[in-house]
Amino acid sequence: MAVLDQSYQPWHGDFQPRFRRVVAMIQVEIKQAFAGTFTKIMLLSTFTLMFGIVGILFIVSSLPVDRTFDFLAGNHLFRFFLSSMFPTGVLIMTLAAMIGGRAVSRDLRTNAMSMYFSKAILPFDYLMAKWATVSLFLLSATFAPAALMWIGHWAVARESLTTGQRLADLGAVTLHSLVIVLPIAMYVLALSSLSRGAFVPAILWTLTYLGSWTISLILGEALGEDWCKLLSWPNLTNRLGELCYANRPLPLKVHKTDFMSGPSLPYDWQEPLTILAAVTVISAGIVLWRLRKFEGQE
Amino acid sequence: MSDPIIAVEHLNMWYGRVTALNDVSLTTPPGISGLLGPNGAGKTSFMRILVGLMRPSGGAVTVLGDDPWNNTAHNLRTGYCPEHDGFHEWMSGREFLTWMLRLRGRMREDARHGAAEALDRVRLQDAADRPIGTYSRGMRQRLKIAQAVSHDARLLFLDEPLTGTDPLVRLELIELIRSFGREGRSVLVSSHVLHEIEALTTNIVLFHRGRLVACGDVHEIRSLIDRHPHLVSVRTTRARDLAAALLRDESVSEVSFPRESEILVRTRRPDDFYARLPKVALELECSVEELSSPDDNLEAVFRYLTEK
Repeated sequence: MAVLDQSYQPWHGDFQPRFRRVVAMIQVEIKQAFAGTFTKIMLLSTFTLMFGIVGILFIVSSLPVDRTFDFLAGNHLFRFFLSSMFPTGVLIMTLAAMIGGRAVSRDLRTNAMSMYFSKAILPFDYLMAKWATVSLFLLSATFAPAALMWIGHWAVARESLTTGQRLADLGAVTLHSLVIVLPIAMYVLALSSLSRGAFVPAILWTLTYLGSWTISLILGEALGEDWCKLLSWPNLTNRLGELCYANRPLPLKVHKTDFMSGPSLPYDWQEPLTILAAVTVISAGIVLWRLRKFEGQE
Repeated sequence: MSDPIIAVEHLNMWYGRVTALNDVSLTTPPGISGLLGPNGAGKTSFMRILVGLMRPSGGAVTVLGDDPWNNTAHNLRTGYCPEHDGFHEWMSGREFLTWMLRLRGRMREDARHGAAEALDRVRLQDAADRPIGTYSRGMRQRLKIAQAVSHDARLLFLDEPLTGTDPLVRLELIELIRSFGREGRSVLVSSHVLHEIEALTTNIVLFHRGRLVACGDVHEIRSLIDRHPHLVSVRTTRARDLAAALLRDESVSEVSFPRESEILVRTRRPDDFYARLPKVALELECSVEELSSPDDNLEAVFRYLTEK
């Protein structure tokens, strides 16, 4: 009779909660984003440009002159920064394409799904980790510079505000950033899950962002209908964004500009929120569907 | 008798109109079991269902007493080594194993400790801090096995762990897998090569075209196979003379000529035939240029079993 050593003992230590496992995924995803030299250069360039522009905007807005432009006055400064197509829109678009475009497609290409899902990770956890990772990168190009502006505004702006008003500004900046970032991150993940390559999702996302903006402009000119403006992705986020800020009198005499001439959409919050929420939910559904589908096909 | 580790009843799996598994029912005892079948037999689908990666189209699956589908507790007690690599190539082996353990819920320090033990177990300590992208095929296989076993899994699923490895690494891996069995763990290991499975266990499960063909002791299966005629192809310069001489031997039941310089011999006693052939060739002073057996591939073995 064979005598077996039977030395195996199951592990009896403590397990981390589910949230910590998702955090572990996010940490590696962030490291992964910085793994390639090209990516490092691109990210560094993006952030340098972003923070450079933040600095310029901030310095201009705080110059001791009698009059300033309306978009640089008060909390309009934050709104202008987060709503502008350049640099913010273009840089967000680039970051989403670079980071989000390959987030799922790389795992599909390298057969990494079975590595994840044979651990204590469910597809929903995976989706949350990827969404959080892409969102964090996009927030670093939206919320982080806007928060810097907010700190600087507190320090040097010639507007006398209560703490409540300042905190309301910070809340508005946070909410505006999330309105921009969350739907984009999920939509890009959906595109990424539809391909095994990083290039196609990146191109599709760029086409969506710029294409929706362009088509909205063209149709708006041709048809003159209000609904045409709802076709533009930037218009949707801008409209929800501007509703985040409290209305208060401008602190200085201002030069009126087109930027502040009216709302970016002739609609209240319901229409843009419904569209963006629908895009986000459908995108999440696509990612989860693709994860289940690919589990069987690897 | 101990409870089965895996119990499957009327398991079906379809990909659209393609049937991957067809009404499979079986149980496997604790210890090492071999899952044998040619490519496309449904081994990987079967294994992925047991791991909990896929939901079966029909039937009931119980692994260690639980349904594996969508069950993270199941994944804490089992380990899976997939056939294909799924690494982040920029990571080192140590980082990868630590991360895998953290995804299994280990605290950071526990994960580091577990990773070091697993690296030691699969003899990857020297390369532990190198990027995985620089690893050889054998090292990658060992790392995959390490991530499957590092959390002290009670049951291991190893999908073709020996594929693509050189003979030395193969021997090492076979010994490693056998050591898991000796410790009291259970292992389900798949392969399409009979002698690989024979080296690991006597308990085998045979799949062919999505169906369970046979299940039990490898020696019974082997004798079943040996009762069927064995084909041997002989390439020689004097095919007709050699064929005439071989036909006089009792071990040969039939000879045919697929090509001018090739004889296809059918024998029910392959060992006797292989012993006799060199003597006959020497007597005739003809050279045997190539000797191969179409039956060496598992597909042929399964053809015998399914046509019997």
